[in-house]
Amino acid sequence: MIDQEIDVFHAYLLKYRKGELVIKEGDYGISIYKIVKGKVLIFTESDNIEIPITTIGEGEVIGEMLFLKKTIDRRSASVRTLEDSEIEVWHPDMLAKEYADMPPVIKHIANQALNRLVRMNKMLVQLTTRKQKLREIVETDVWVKKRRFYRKKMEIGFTGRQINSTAKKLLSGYITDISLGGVGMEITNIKLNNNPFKTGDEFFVKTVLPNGKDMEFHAKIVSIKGGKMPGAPFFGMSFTELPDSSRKDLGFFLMP
Amino acid sequence: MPVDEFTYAFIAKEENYSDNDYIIKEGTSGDWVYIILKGKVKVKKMTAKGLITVDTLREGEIFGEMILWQAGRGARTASVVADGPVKVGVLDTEALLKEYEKLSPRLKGLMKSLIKRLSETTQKAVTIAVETN
Repeated sequence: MIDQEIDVFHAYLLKYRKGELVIKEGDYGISIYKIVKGKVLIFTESDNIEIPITTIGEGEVIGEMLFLKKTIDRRSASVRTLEDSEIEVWHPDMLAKEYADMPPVIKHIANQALNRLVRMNKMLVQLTTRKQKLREIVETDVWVKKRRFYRKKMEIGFTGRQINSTAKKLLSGYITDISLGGVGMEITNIKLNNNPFKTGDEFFVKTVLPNGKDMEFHAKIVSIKGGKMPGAPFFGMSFTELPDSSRKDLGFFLMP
Repeated sequence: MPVDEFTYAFIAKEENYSDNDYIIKEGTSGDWVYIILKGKVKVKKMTAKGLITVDTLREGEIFGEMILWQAGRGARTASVVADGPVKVGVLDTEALLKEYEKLSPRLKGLMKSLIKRLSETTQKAVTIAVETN
């Protein structure tokens, strides 16, 4: 940042590189800044998220609020450069005479415009923050919805027939948990230590949901372990084919 | 707020409006600056989703003053509608402009910047309000 005096007015010309902070929200400040060259962003921060308010370009002035209000106050927003910029800084004392000479009616009207700007700024920040929060809620909600369909525990009898195999062995037992992705089954007609099946084997399964709806599907074994009953295997199964009607019934069943 | 004494001197005439009367219509060209003497008004802007209320102004507050800072008499940036019965003072625009001319170029620049910012900020707020509703 280089600065140099420029004229009788004794304003300072500050040079900023892109991305530098010019004003920090909450700081005590009384100077007015005029953008001679470049562009800056006015922003505020809420919960560590930067909320952009507006961009200010060449010929425009910022910070005039404090000057016109003539109160020692804190900066209502932060400012940083969006590109390399040159900014003229006016100290209020420089404008003191001009301000004193300001026709009272114009001063009064200016103060009102200022108050309105402060109000609109507050509203804009509120609305922008709310818009951001709404976006977050929508994204969270989709995840919440997916979780609700996660899984339910039960004990419903099933019969299964191996498909895609010449053996076409039978399977029977209880479905103990179910989700939109698959089922967990406690097998009763075969023993864990004498299990003819392996992961990847596919079955056609029939069962009846607790709500009375018939359900049919194809599923393949993705995991084999010991079940609750001693010696009984437990198959983790993933759906390979689920008819639309069964999918719908399952969906309704899984809703909390 | 009470009517500022300096502003009072610039009142050319008084006008009365009934509830929902348009005192200023957005988009039309305007010549007058107003001050509220009694009652309140709503500032409204037209959006893709209809008319929305942007602000409420009360006794002592001034509206329509945007024309003072603009080189030509541009179009009104918002409508101002009476909220209940309202009495306004119509200000002498020519006299106000003469006062405005007394400002230094620097202060004039300051005022123009302020007004431009007010207009843009209001528009931005309106756009987001419409988007999120």
